Amino acid sequence: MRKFFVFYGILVVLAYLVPFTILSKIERFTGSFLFWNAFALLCIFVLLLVMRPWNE
Amino acid sequence: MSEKYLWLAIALYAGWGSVFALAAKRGIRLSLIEYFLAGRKLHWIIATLSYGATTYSAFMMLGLVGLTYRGGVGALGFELVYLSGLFWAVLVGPRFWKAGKHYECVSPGEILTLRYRSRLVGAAYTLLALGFLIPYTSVQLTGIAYLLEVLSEGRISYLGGLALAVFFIILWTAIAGLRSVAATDSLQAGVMMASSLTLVLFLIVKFFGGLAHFFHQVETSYPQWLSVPGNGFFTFRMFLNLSLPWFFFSISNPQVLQRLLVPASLREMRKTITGFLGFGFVYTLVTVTLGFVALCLIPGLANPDLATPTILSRFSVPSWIALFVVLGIISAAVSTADSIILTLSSMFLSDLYPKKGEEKKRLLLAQFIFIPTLCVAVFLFALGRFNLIALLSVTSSLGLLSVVPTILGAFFTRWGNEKGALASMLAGAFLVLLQLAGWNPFKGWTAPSVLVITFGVYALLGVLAPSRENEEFFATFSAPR
Repeated sequence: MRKFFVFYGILVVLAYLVPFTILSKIERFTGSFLFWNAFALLCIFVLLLVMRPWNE
Repeated sequence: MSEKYLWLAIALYAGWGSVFALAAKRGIRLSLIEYFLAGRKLHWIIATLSYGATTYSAFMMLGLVGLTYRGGVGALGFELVYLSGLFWAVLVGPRFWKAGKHYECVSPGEILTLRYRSRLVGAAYTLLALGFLIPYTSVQLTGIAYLLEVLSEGRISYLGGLALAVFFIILWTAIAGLRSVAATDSLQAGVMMASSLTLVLFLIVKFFGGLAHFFHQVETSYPQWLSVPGNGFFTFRMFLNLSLPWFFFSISNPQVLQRLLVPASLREMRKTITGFLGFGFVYTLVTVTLGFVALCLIPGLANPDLATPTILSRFSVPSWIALFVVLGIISAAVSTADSIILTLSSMFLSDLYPKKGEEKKRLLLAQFIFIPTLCVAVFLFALGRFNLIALLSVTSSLGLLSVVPTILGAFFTRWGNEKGALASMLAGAFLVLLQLAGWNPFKGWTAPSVLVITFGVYALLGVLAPSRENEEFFATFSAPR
C-alpha cells in the first residue's frame, strides 16, 4: 500500500511542476492539456488499485 | 429568452424534483440516521450521482468556464488536481466509516468529538463550517438569481430568483432528509452532465465543424491559453493558492465528508468513489472545453463568469438546449446548497445543541427550525448581492483548509490531542481572515501558509502537551497494539 501512496505523491508533485517547467513553452493541446488528463487518469487508476481490497 | 419558456422549465424542474423527493420518502420510518444518512442504505448509483451533484456546484458552468476563458488550460489542471484529491477520501474513508458506524454518528463533528474526547472540538469544527459555508451556499443562490435575471431580461427579479431557490432547498431537504436530497441530486447530476455535454457538442459541430477544427482554431488563435503561465493569469503562486484548498476538499468540506458515513459497506463506498471519479473527470473536461469554445466565439468579455449565459442569449442555440442548460446550472446550485444545509443542520443538532431529549423531537427541530433558519441566513446573506462569487468560493475552501490537520490527525496520529486540534483550527481560520483583510506577511502564498501553520500548531501542541491516548477510538478501525 505504501508504494502506491509514494507513487501517488510523486504524481501530484509532477502535476504541479511539469506544466510550469518542461511544458511551459508547448502551446498545443498535446502539452499541458494532455499531461493533466494523463495525470488524472493515472491517479484514478492508482485509487482503483488501492480500493480493490475493499470487499467487506 | 422567452419568460414563458423559463417558467415552464422551472415548473417542470419543480414538478419532477418533488415527485422524486416524495417517492424517496415512501415507506421509511424517520430517525436521525435515516434522515441524515439515508439509513446507510443508499444504492451506490444514487450515492455516486448525489456525491457528484453535491461536489460540483454552479461554479463549474459559470466559474470554471470563466476561469478557462481567462486563464486557459491552468483551469483544467486546477480542477483535475481537485479530482486527484479524492486520495484523501480513499485514505481516511475506511477508518472514518468504521468509527462512524461503531459509534452511530451522524455528523463528522461527532466523530471528532469522540476521538478528541471534547465537545469543544466538534463545536469548533461546526462553527467554522457554518462561518465558511454560509457565504459559499449563498453564492449558489446568487448564481441562480443572476442567471434568471439575465436570461429573462429582468422580468424575473433577483429577489424572485433567490426566493425560488430557497423554496426548492427547504422543500427537498425537509421532505425526507438525505433520501430526498440524494434522489433529487441524482436526477440533477444527470441534467448537469447531459445539458453541458449537449451544449458543447452542439457548439463545436455548429460553429467549428468538428473537434479537429475546434482544436486547430484554439491552437492558432489562442496558443498562450494552452500553457501555464501562458497568458500570465495562472502564475505558479495563483495555481497553488487555488488548487491546494481544493486538493483537500474531499475531507475538509463536511457535506462531502459526511457522505463517507452513508455507504452500507466498504464495497459500496468503493463503488461510489469509483463512479464519482468517472463522473468528475468527464464533467471537468466538458466544462473546460466550454470555456475554450466561449473564448473563440465571444472574445473580449469584461466578465468571463458570464460566458455561459452570454452564449445562451447571444447565439442561435435552440431554446430546448438553452433551457436544458439553465436547468443544469440551477440543478448544480440547488444540489450543492441543499446538501450543505442538510449537513450543517445535522452538525448543529449533534455538535452544538445539547444532546438530550427524544430522537423524534430532535429530528423535528432539525426539520422545522434548523433547516429553515439556515436557509433564511443564506437568503439574507445573498440579499447583499455581493458581486464576489470567486472571492467567497475561495475564502470558503481556504477557511476549511484549517480543519485538515484535525481530521487527518484524528485517524493517523495517536499523539494528536484536543489542544492541538482547537488551536490549529482557530489559528488557520484567523490567518485566513487576516490575509483576506489585507495583512500579507506571506507575500500572497495564502494556502500554503495556512496549511503549514495549522499542521505546525497541531503537531507542536500534540508533542508538547501530551494527553492520554484514545485506545477505544483506534480499536474501532485497527487491530490492538
